[in-house]
Amino acid sequence: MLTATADTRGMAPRARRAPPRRDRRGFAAALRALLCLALCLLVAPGAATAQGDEAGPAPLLDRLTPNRIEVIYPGTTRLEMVEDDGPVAAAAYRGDEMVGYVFSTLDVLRAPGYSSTPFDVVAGVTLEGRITGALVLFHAEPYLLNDAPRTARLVQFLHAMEGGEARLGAETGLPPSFVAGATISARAMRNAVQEGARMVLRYRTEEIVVTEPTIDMINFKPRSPEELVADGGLVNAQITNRALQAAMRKAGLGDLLPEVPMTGGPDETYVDFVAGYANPPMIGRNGTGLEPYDTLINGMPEGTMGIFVATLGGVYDHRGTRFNNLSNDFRFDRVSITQGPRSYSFAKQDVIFTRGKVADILVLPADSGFDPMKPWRAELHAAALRPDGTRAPFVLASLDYTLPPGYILMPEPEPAPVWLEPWVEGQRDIAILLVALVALTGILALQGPLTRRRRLHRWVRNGFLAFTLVWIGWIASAQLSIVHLVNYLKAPFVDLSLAFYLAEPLIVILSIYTAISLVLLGRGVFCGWLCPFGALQELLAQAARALRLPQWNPSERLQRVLWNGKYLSLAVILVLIVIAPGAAMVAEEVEPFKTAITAKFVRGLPYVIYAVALLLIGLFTERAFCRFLCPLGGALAILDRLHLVDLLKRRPECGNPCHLCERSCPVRAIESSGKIIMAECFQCLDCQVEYYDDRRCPPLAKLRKRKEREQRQPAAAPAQAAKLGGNFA
Amino acid sequence: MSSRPPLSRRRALRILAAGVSIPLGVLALRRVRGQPQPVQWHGEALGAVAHMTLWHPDPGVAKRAMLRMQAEIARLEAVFSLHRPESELSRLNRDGRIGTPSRDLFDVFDQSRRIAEASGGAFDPTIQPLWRLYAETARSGAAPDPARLAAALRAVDHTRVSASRRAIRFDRPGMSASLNGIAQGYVTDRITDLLGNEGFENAVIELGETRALGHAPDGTAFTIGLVDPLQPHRTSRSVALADASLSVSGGYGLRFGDASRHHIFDPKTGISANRLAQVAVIAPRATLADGLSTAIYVAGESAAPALLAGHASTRAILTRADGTVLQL
Repeated sequence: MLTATADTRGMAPRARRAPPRRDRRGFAAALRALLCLALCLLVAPGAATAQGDEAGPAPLLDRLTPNRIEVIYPGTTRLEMVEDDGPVAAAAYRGDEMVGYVFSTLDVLRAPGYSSTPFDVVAGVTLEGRITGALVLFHAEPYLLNDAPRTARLVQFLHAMEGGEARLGAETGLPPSFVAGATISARAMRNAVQEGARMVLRYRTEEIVVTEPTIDMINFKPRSPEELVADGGLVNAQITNRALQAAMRKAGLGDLLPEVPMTGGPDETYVDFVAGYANPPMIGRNGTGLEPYDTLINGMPEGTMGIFVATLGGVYDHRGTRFNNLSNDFRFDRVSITQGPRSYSFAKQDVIFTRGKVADILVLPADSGFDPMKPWRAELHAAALRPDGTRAPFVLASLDYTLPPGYILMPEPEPAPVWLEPWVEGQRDIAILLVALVALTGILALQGPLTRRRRLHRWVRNGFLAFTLVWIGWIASAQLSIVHLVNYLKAPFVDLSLAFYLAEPLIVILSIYTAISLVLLGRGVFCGWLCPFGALQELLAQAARALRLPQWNPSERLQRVLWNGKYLSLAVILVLIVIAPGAAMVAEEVEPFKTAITAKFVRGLPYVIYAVALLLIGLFTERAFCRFLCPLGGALAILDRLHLVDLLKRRPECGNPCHLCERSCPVRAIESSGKIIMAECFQCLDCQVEYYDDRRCPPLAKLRKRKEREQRQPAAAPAQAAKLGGNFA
Repeated sequence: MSSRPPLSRRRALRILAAGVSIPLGVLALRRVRGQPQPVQWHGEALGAVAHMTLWHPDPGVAKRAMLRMQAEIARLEAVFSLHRPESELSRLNRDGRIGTPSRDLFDVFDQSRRIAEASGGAFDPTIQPLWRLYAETARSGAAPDPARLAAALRAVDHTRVSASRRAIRFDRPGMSASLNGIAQGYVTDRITDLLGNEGFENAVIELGETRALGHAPDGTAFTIGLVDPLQPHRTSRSVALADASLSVSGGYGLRFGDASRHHIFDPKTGISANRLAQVAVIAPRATLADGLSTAIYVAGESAAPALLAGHASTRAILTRADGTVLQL
């Protein structure tokens, strides 16, 4: 049943009766044909049943043909449904650029017009909040149905909304009265387009940030009273005739008759009453419709609160008529609200009435002391008639209400600090490193039993070095470097947040372990066990020794000079940091760590050549870089002077006359006097292996031989043995 | 080893083999690891869209570095953000004075002063009163009332800021600083420096201003597109950037009402500068590039050569209102 078409270009409306059609496909075909001639519109009340039923409207995109889209958002090349929880809308694209939204008032507001059946107007809105066009797809407005001239005017009126603001009540190109005879419908559609556009846009463009629990004044979805009762937004009392009589008996009025007589049997509903907090749009706007709700939110002083009350059925209602009587002081006396010690009653001027249904907003001023976040109670009053005609009021229903949590926006929980993320994400790596550090602590603590077993020591040592190189170095990229040390040293002088340091969990853990081990045992724990580049050098040196490559080491005197190289490189870096930070960054390149470990040699050729050269030197002079050049090693070696415990064992014979350990020390940290220079010791424990080896350590070997002799000749001198044995302690 | 055996042929071969095997091993390792991978971050810094791209052979290292840089950006937001009422800058604007400013705030005021002096006030960090006025009147779409404009202009004067390590103070009531752009340049520099210090060699940092750390991993310069000032949704040309910063000033970004009113004001007239359509400055550091591009945009083409000459390794691409381009 096609009703009308209209030229929307401002020419005189031209009504045309189209041939009647039964199905929607024919309707759409006709639409297309007509739209090709001019931007025309067809209103098809025949589609009413399809859209008004319980299943809800068809998907938005199915209702929008290309021609319709061209009317409501000209130039749109593509529509895409927005997949979020906001008001239903489709994003409109021009090419790749998203320019605005297209929506339907039926989806977004389900707003009724003059008729109680909600109309469907589709419209577009730009991201800047301007309406791009509106088109009515369906309505059941009595004064428009089958009225071609009026429908044409409605089409023109809606088309003239183009360019208007997306704000309820904003001026449009034509006034609603342009649609003479259907002004209420026209205004309702205009309001629905404006409010719908604002809602669609606001949900997606305005960031809702709450710092404390705040009542949700943003989110809106069309909801029926039943749905609102189900989610707690409204509370409901269905009073049957039986319940009415019970209430009267309770009030001592059991033998009187109610002021408003009952109809039907005892299970017939006397009144079906709902109440709720009106300010959240989900409750207030759904309950009353656009205009009364807008009056509460925008037409009242800031902070005004409203209680939504409605009667959904029954012979009794919450309004009555007495509020119209001067004799009753216009008291709206069938409803009262209580919260704690406060009780609120209302008069006619405190009520925003809704046209067309028995649903009202009771207004509570901002200074009324009412707190919508706290529980309150709505009481529905009724009266019995005494024989003398006077009224005996009683409480018919008492509804306890608490705004459900779903209507309260909670502040975002404080975001976890940035540095926490790598600690959580890196749990596995952190666990591996901690296990390794526990193992290393065990190795150092049990070095006696370990070093008594030469082969076991070699396996443990090389195994750990391989772990340090491959996992700590190449896999986890946790090579501690002079850069870290410098950052820590600079920390008191620069304004970096703690998070900046904490975001590298493995480095933090290694730094702490290194600091503790430095104070307890000396620099060797880090340099000898935990430095990946050191491990790389040592493993290569072992391979070199296995290949019997010639080894060269400086003389003791020359070595004392060369040792200072690392202090020099450290000093140069520290000085440059103060006077020329840019140059310090270049100087820090003396470390090949970045090249060989973190970047795995994927770097510029000069860096790679430098790192390879250091490794080659290391083949012939073990750990040459560590001993003579490493600035981090230099820093640790300086601090090594503070260490508290010496675990490495010595004998009086060490250095005089025996020089076994001195020669077996791969880094020549033992002087010819037999003294271990701890600042140069890498805690490899090789000397301890010799110390316990009764075939290589001369005093032990001597003792062993004597013991063997004693076994053959039991009466040897025990005193001598005792003296030697004392040195074991 | 006193009795070292003579260098036999076999021994020499062994040494040679060991010497060759290390570079070979390194080559193999490089092959296993492959080339540096880009790791990207998109977010927000000082109210502007921000991006960082880091190249590193180990993406995990780059990701962790990114997190640490976010921590630093968050800290700098607490210094410079105009949107946060408790930021140092907001407190200074509110109270007209701040005691013991952070090093960051002082540094930016110090650099602002230098560029303001060099540009004869064309760049002015105390432009915020004008900004506020325009933002307020923009709702109505009209130009600001001349009396209010004059009042706001009286509060714009970079010479009336006294900044020392002990305190930063405005000498006139009603003054406030925006540090707009230059603070972003500072954040960009700061993050880039930190990344360089962490050992990153290829990175593009866009935190309000653009700075390239090193060059692209393939050895070429990074290519940064310049917005066409006449059609701001497309790019007109691209700039090669390696170890340098790019700052672009143009009135097409934020507008108040009509197109001639935008966010870059001439501190002398209080009206948006419209002498040039766009100024792009390439300088070693983002803070400098930023100050210079704003200064040239306000002062116009004639002032550009002198401003650029005063700073080493800077150049500029000016687009006039008619679309013609001048490279300096």
